[in-house]
Amino acid sequence: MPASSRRRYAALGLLLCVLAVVTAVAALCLGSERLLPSHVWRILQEGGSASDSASVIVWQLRLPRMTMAAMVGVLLSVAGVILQGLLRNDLADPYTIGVSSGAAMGASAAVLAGWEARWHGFGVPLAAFVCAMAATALVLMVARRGGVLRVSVFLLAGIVVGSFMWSVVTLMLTLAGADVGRVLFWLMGSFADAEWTRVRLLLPFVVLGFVGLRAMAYGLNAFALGEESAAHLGLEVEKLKRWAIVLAALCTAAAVSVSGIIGFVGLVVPHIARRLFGADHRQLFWSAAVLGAVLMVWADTLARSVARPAEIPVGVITALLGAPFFIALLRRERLV
Amino acid sequence: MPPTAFPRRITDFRGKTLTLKSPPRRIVSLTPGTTEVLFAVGAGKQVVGVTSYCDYPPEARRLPKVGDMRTNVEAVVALRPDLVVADGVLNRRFIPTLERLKLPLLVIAPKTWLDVARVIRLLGAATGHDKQAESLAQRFHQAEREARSRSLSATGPGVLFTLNVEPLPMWVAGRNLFVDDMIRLAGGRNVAADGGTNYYPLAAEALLVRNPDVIITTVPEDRLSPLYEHPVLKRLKAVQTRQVYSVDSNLFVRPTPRLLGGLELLKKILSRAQRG
Repeated sequence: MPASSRRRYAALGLLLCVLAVVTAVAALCLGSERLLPSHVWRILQEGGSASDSASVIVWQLRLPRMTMAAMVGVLLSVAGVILQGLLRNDLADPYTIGVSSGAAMGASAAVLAGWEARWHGFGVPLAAFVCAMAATALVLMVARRGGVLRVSVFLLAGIVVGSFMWSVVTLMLTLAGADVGRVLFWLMGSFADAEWTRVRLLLPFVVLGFVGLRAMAYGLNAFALGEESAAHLGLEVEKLKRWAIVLAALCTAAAVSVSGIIGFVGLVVPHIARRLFGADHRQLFWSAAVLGAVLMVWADTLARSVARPAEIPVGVITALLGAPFFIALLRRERLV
Repeated sequence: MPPTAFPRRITDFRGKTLTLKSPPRRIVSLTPGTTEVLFAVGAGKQVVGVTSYCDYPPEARRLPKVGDMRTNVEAVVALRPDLVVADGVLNRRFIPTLERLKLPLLVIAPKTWLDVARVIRLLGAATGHDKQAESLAQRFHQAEREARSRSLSATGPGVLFTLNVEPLPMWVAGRNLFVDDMIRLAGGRNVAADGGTNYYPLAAEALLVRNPDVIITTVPEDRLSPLYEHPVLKRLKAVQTRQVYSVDSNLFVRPTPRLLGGLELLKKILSRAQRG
């Protein structure tokens, strides 16, 4: 790596770190109740044992919530980088492959079946995760023939399976009548029920996604040259495709099952990261992860601040801010 | 004009006027609430169509169905109604169609406690049962007067009315709801009244700061365990002092005379809570 680009990466890296710290401070201070940074600092030093409401808000609500938002941001961004790299398509996002619709179907069914309180509150996430993975498996089955995964068919199959499952969701909601508000809130994404137990559950997926993407970085770089060229470079193309999709699906399913469907982060973050750090996946894997975490934490902070004391689904924020931002980005690149 | 004189002109919640030549004999009711009010004022025998959610009084269940919360307009027309009663919120998607078909339509849109009295009077007048309606409506005014006479006493216990306990956020009753009025009439203070109108999702940290003395929920008792296990919810005063009560939602969310029963229940709960 030439010294100039090393300096550039170091500067950008430093900038991201500062951004992350500022984000964390804002996330802990802002919300339905406003706390001063000095107060939050004192609470953090006291530890999580105090029982006054400010301490409970910081330790039991905001910290797990911020951590979970950051983790989901990482998961969705990692999945977005993988899929955009693999499909060589700028429009690909974690939800292209049917994961979100599968999860939505599982979660709605579980909510309507009254599983919200089952298994210590894990009934809905579990149903969402299982259905999300099943949806991806279905897409993979459709797109594979003779041991070869056809990337173009994969995209189409994802869209078709997705629309099919969304119509099942709509049908369930139509027949359900009541409970619709709660299902919709889930569908639009929220970190309102973040707890440390869920954070612990999510952690292995974050590690897996982060390490997995780093391991695939070289392969995805080669893939950018085209499938055939990658094969000539000695890459086991089918193996890469299979594992990349499984990894992306695992990351997305884990994210969706705890937080609902949060759009735009997985689509936009890889684009921003590529603009800042270039298309090298060895730089993208960490920069997209940090950016994804920062964006998601900001989105959640807004979601619980702008309508206080009410909450808005975080997916509404990401779409409201993400769509105009993305259009601006596209116009600067003169793509539209 | 004697109360039983027809024809009469009835003005509904939209401000639209409907002229009824004689007491209607073929009424179609498009929500469980309107069905209950019609039966309560003594017009049950005049009702010929209800929704599949109309479960009270039991006689209403046997009547022909014209859909659930989505009105089957064809089924309504087929019953040749001489009066259709709809709710401006619950049936809002179907009201334009019903209007276009020139069906004799009355629309109610109650938001407050006294609006319910107005609904009862309106439907009593439309069906020729003014007397029975008036005495029911008076009980709503009576509750309001009683509350006013003791409103100078100190603020009562903080009450939260919620439709769910998990997953968070809780969907709680804000302003512009009969429940909000009922909490006040029972001598309590709705801790979520400042946050929004209707039912809205209240942030957990806001819930913690508002720290209600009593939680009233429509969640059945056997599904309340998350309240006692959740790291934040279990710290709420109402949870720690076991002041969480499961209630029948029909006594609190339908604009019907049964709200009077809900109010009595609420008064009992709050007086028990105050005694500690």
